[in-house]
Amino acid sequence: MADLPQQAFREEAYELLAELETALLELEECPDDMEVVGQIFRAMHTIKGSGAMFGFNDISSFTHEVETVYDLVRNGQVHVNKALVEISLQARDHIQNLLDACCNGAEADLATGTELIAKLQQFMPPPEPQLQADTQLQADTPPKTVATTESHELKTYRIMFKPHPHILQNGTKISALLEELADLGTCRSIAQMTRLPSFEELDPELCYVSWNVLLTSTCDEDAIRDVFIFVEDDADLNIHLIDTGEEGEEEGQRLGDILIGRGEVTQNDIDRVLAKSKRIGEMLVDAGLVDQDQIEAALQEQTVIREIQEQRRSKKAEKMPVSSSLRVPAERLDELVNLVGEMVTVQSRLSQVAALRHDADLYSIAEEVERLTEELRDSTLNIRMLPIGSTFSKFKRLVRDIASNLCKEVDFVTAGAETELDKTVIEQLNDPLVHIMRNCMDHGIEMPDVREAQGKPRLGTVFLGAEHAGDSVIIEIRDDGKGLSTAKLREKALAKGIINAEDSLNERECYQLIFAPGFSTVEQVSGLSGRGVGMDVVKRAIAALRGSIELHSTEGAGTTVRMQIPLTLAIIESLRVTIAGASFIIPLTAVEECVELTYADIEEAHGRHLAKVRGSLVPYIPLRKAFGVSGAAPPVQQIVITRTGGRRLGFVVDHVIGEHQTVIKPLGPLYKNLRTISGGTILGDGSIALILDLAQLMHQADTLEKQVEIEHE
Amino acid sequence: MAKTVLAVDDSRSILQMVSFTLKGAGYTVVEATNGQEGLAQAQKQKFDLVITDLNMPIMDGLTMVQKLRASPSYKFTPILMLSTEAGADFKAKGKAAGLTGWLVKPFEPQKLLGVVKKVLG
Amino acid sequence: MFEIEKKTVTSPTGEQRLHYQVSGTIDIESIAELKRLLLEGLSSSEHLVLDWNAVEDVDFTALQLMCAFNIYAREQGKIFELKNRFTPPISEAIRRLGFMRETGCSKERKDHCLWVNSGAAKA
Repeated sequence: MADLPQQAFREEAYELLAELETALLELEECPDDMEVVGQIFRAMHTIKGSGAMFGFNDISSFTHEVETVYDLVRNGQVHVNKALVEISLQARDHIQNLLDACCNGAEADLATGTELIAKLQQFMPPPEPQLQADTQLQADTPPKTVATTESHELKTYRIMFKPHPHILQNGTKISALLEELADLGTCRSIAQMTRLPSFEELDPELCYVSWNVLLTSTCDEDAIRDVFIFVEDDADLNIHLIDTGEEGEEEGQRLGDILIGRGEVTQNDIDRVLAKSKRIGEMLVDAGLVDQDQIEAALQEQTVIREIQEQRRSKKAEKMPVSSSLRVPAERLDELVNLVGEMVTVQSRLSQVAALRHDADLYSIAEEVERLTEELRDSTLNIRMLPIGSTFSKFKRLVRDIASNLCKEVDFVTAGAETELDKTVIEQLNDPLVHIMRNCMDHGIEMPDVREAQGKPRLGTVFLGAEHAGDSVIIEIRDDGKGLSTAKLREKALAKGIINAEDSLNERECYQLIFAPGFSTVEQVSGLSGRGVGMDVVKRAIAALRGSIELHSTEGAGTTVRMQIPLTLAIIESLRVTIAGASFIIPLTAVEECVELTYADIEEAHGRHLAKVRGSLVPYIPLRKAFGVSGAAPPVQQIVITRTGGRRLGFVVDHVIGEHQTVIKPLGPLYKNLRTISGGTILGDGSIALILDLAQLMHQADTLEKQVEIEHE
Repeated sequence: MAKTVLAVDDSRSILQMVSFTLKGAGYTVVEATNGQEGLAQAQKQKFDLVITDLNMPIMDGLTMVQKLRASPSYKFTPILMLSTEAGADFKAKGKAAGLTGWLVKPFEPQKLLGVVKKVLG
Repeated sequence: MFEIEKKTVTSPTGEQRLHYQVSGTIDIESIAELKRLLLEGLSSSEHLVLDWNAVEDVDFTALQLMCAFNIYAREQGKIFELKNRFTPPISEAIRRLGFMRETGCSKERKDHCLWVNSGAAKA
């Protein structure tokens, strides 16, 4: 259904191209036949216009160039010759090729287009540069789209709309304009009769009335001007902001002040009339300074402003206290975070030096600086925190659109929109979230009829929630769709060679298969979640944020994807360790404890990399071996026990130095293929430490283990 | 009573889109594929609104608008033009011919409905 | 388009009134015709009644014409009555077009103005 107009365009375009061919051949015979030229121009024009309308932008922009030439031919500025017809025919064929490409989803050949355009331009007379810029502008500028930036503040405008008498002569309906204004907010119109002539003189088809409109709305002035866009040359329009919505004068303006503000009387006039003691409005009319229309309009204005201020006062009482905020460009914040990062580095150097000097005074200053730096760091990072809700509201639209595309009925529920996360993290979360949500809608939620048949409500639910957990945020996406079958996942993974037939996987491990590269659970990649991007990309994106992702599912009842994301990317609490004198950084969030590893322990395990930690066996990775470090390990090594994605794993290092504030620096493009290291940092003494990517190390160990097992067999 | 709209365009796809959009919003739509056909339809019945393309074979949009305005029953009828340009030049020419408003291609169906409401109320 | 049904009513006191019962829509398409009818009516009678009870909608040219005619009739020393002008659809149009008044306008004081709805409370 949705493709109907596109289909109609294609059919139409093919017909027009056939016509075009005939016409061009005819033109070659009689190059002066203006009727044929007109026919060619129109065919091009229609292809261009309709093409743009239905999203065939390549076709539209190319055809625009050809059309331009024929517009000049039509106006006698360019003469037809054999060469022009030849190029035109090629251009026609090119349009057809573009159209064919669109139909079979093939890549459009844009190079040919550029080449043809260059050839066509040789036929154009060299216009004055200024002129060219002008026509370019007219042809290419899309209609002025008025951005209606909605603020939350209700503002009141005084709109004075004074149509020229002939305004009705081309079908304009005043009532439609006033109605449109009324749709923008609360609106009061007062017709001004000042220009009304006597009945004999009055031409009933002309407009003698002007309007004074008071509009209270959140829209901006452009939105109001947009209402009058078709009559801007047929009327005088004045728009004044008379109440900005901010806390202003406490008192409603007095009638006299309003009239002065509108420039209809002066303070002097008022003072003079005030000497007498009737109602000010009557007095001003009696004095002939204003007429009844103006009084009526001003009275309305007074009422409106009073009402608004009343409303605002009661509203203000509801939402105490009012916090003021300041807008700052994001780059300035990034700069600040960078500076704080450097400060943290310098501070740890200071602490180190102070510790070495054994100088009590220096030591206490260093401690003070450390405390301050920590506070500075926390408050700076806090500034960059934004509620994740802004992202949530975008998804509302996404869910709606996808649901209607798939003809599914979906209710979108969110929780924890106020949860705050670093701005950069929120931005980088967008794509992975979109992908997961699409998967939920596409593969998770069943068609309404299917759901009903299974005794589920027709309306499926997709839940998106966020909550704080320590220094990270948990994001959960849940659907009540058909869920995943472990058996099916296994089968698929086997078929794709991701696992071996003899691999035994528990339920959790089965679900994690979905994140393996090259894995996709649906036989047919649908247009929505397809595009050849799998969940492995999502997992990598989350890992890049130093987060983790897990999936659980109950067949028939739904799927839950849970992500744990650190609050910020810039600075992390970490554990500093050394291997053969070089420093490495392990994110502290993952660390559970540190235990010793002696030669005796190693022997006891018979060559298997397993350590006994309080009664349970924990596998470990000797980092010396993993990184290919030569030389002997110290007699007593340390195992840093970590937990990532629900699994415990130890990393064997020479020494554990202690906790460290790590300012993360990217390693640069040269190292982009380095999987096991996620970044670097500068230590207090100026040397460099590398940050370990635990998830990748774990993954590497798994693969290695499998290879070892195969070798053993 | 449903308002009646005469839609005139030589592009079948655009005509279809305009027609589909307006019918969906409850208007009654009659289609014509050039200015002359449009005039003939307008004589057969009185429409509340006319929407026309500019470049069409046989009779172009502006000529049709001029002829419509000259007839007593279309003196005050709103007439919209769909065009690929929106320069001051075009607007002045359109106004002089008797256009009520215009809509620049490409446009979204929603935008079309907005402009129709703007002139029809 | 509107339609008018004309009749002459004689009051018990022997006064003759011309009664125009209007139905349909009064808008710019037919406003010139209404002006002609009003002039014709007022020249043939001392007292003209225009009844809007069956009018479905008006545009602002109708209201504009009424304002001018109201003044004109008085200046001619004749009586013009616009009956049933605050029916729900017409009230809505009067309000929307900004003609609804509390104190009249620059041309008319409150007691003459057609659009001061003193009986609004009952509507």
